[in-house]
Amino acid sequence: MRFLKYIFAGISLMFMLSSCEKEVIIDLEDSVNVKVQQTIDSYISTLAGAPNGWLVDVMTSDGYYQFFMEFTDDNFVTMYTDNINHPDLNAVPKKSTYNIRSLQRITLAFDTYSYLAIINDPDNSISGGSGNQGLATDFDFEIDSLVNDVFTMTGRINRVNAKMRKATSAEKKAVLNGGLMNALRNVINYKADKFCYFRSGDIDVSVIFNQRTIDIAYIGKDGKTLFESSVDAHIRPSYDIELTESFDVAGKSLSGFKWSAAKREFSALLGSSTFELGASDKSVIPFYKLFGLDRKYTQMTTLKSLFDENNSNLIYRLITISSNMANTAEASIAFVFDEAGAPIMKFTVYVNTGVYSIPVTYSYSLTYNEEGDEFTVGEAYYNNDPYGYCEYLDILLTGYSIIRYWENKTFTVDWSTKTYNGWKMGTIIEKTNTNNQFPGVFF
Amino acid sequence: MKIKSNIIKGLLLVLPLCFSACREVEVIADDLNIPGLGGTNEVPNEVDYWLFDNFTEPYNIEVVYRWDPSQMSNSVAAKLVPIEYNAIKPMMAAMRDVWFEPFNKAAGVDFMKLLAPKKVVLAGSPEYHNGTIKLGQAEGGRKILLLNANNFNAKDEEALKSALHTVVHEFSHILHQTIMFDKSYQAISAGNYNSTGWQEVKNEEAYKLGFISNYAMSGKDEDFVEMLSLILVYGYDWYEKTIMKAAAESTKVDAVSALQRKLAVVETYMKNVWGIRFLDDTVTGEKGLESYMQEAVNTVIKTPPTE
Repeated sequence: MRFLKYIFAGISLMFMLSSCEKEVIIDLEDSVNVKVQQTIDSYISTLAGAPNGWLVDVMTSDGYYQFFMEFTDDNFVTMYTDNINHPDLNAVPKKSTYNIRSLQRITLAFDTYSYLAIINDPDNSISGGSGNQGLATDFDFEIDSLVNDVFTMTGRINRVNAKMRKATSAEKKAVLNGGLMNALRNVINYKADKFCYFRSGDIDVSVIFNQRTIDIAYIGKDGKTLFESSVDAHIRPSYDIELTESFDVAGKSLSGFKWSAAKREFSALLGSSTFELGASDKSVIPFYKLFGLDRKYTQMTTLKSLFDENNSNLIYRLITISSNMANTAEASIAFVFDEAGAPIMKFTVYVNTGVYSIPVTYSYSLTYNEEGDEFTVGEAYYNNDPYGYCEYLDILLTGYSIIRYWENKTFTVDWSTKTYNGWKMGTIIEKTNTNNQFPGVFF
Repeated sequence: MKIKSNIIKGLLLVLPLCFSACREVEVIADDLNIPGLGGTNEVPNEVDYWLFDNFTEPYNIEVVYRWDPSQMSNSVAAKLVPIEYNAIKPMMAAMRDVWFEPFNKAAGVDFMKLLAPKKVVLAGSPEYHNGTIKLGQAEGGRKILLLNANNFNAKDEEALKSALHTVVHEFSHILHQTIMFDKSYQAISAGNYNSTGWQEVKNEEAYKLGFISNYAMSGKDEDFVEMLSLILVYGYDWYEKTIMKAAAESTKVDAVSALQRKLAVVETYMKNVWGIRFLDDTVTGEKGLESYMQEAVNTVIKTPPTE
């Protein structure tokens, strides 16, 4: 009898354990899938529902590019671009496809060739990039957030920043009339032969408009300390300029520049005030404060196209190089310290072999004076010339040698009133013969 | 002691039943569409319908034109851009006429249904590699990646033939990956293949070594598909006047004999394996695949299809 109790207990235990069988239905009620699809649908609805389209800023290796886009809910998008390297595209709409995809993150994909693809194109002649990598930017963007009708996004490959906000009816009208490129041209050409500045209290602030960046600089109240920055800018179809980061001017925040269509002038937005931009023949910041040994810019590069007149010994020699060496002669000067810590000047010319452009670099001892506004160049030497191009240049250019030209001369530096593709230029001037100038874009 | 023993016996008896009973059944709900596995939804457009009518329905081929990095194979490391929306139809219409149609005429309509790659992926730019560009790639008989589609122009004879050569070259890989060509082929130029240095050999030098192109020197498979595809795309006349003429001037190897034997293997392979006459029958006048393709190429250059 007792044995039967044990058997009964065992069978009961079996039923108890077997009762744990259960069926789990994976329906993920309002699951990831449902939520993702709802989000995608809402994003497409938001994109297609903007009555005046969107202004889109995309970071590249060449600064922020700006696009205007109008989306429809059938996966098409019509774009306008501010890509001034393709002037024929000004105010020309281009239709392509897009979608919002659920990849690792929800992604806005521009999935057929668009104006965004142009700046990504591996053909350097199309994108303006190098190394067949376009402008190191993206055309697929992870959506980080949508707040107050502003999409904040990150490129999937190069992780570039991108932002998209609803455009106003005035902005749309301006875009359709070529406002994107016209605004950029307006900035590039704005008093290009002058130096812009504004005065806040007793501080003069230099403002240099480049293609997509603004160089801002002022000298502190001690009369010596230089405060400067190159700030990326969004140049709007209204011609207004928004700085991507504000610049501090003696405790006040410079956020951008307002365009007056009536006056055809910019004014600076500093704190809650506006300051008219003045323009003078001389910059309020001497060039040597920015360019030279151990300064913000240490290199200056010139091209044949930057000197069209043959009015000095130096230019004549540059032209001689270009006619003998390359179709697009390029030369650059750089101020650096050698391995022992001594200042040297490097002069590089690019020899075109027909296939490659090979840089040939000469080094010179350098005496740089304390003020930094003049320097004296010593003897040239070269020690890394595996193909013998330096020797070849010396022989070829005997009597005209720009390599020997620099030796034992003293130079000053100054701004140039010339510009190159919207970039302000500087110039190196032979002290005893000011006609001899080396103009260039500085880096 | 006896009680303990009985308990142990009882538990041992039911233990296997307990384990077998404790199970969990997972059922995926019918309406659950797992993200990323079901594809992305797009509103079908005019091009989608056209591709369906011209490739999906007749040949069961999916043409992927929307940018998808995962479809770019090993090209993902290089920068590529998508195809122009307006370039899809002109390119694929031309490909239909100069690639599919000649095979349909020479082999019957079932041939392409059976052997055409099930996926054709389009990208706008070529793939750049240290000064060279890649125009396409085949993958396991299933997929062909066509690059440089944005530069396609059917009226430009060289551009058309270059694109056609890419697809026929890759398609020829699918043929021999399905049924291999005769082993005797690889013996013809044994010792002259150069898998790492073929780029440094000019085409004219390759002809004199018994190859139809310098790329054919990179290996027996490439050699075979280059013979097949270049003769189809550029024509037998070109082969005779350019390749064989140069080969006849060779002083290093018997290049003419090598090329003749290779062509014989190609003809036999196409006839015996796939039932396709490769060149015209000079006796009966029966047209071969090469003639059909040349006629198609000439027609498309004169009148590029838009639909």
